[in-house]
Amino acid sequence: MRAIGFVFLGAFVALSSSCIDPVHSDDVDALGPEAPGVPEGLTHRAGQPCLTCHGGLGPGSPRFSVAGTVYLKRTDTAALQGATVVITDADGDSRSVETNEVGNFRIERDTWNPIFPLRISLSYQGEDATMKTLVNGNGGCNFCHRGDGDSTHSPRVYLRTK
Amino acid sequence: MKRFLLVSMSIAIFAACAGSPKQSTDSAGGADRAQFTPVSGMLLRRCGSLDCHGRIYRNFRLVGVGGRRLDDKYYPDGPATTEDEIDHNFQAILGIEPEIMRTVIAEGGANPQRLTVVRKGRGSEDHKGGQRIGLGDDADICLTSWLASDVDSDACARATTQRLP
Repeated sequence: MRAIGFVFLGAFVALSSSCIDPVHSDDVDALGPEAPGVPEGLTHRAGQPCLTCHGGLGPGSPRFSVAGTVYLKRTDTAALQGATVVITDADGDSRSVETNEVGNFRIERDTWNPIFPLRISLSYQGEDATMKTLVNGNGGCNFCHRGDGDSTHSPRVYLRTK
Repeated sequence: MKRFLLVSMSIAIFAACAGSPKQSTDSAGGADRAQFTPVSGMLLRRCGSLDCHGRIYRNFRLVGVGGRRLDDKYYPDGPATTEDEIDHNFQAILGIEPEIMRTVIAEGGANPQRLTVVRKGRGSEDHKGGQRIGLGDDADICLTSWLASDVDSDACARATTQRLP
């Protein structure tokens, strides 16, 4: 009887560990804890790659198809509230979404699952900016756009260069 | 005698290791590095964004403007793609299927669809990024003319600057 118990336990452990994606787990861990005083929700983790947690592998829910954070300028961290982000997919279907007080925006996958590649443009009080390249595979803007940028990341999503 | 042997061995080892890597790639597989610059630009534009072949997680990795940069001081949006990055891209495309590449080039670029990079680019083989090069469009002409050792730089320039399909 005890032997059967061991077999079941072993099988459970094996099945559990086979479901863990270590790369994804590392990506989630790399995000670190929530910022003090900012609750989970629409304003949390501004500037971080939303789809790391909300891309379908967890732990966040709901699942997003496109999400990111918009800033006024390339050179500083002031969020741009009230900007309109227009996303157009490969079939020409498009959606508009407005940024909130920390610059975050999101589209839930249940409401729209666009066909990649995507084109993205930004407008705010008569000013426009259009992304020069296509979004080919990851709808999490901050996956490619991170902070001030470096050799492997573009700078934050911004309206003005300066 | 012993000293002479040691010196000779040292020279031989040094000579074996001292070859410029550039010399070995300029004619690798018959591919022409001198004609590759405009092709590199096209590939960067069509395939090399940060969420595709501009990432380190791809077997076929491109570097330069629009994607990952070789120099830590550079950004994806500038400055312009360097010669070192074009060298990197040249080696990257050669390294996918060097034997087939050699054959295609030796046969004047005939049947380029033998190459995975052509099939995936055209979308005729399953490709996460879908079709990035249309059969017969400027990007296709750019790539296949290079494989035929007679690159159409004008087609490459158009494919690099025009609105993406």
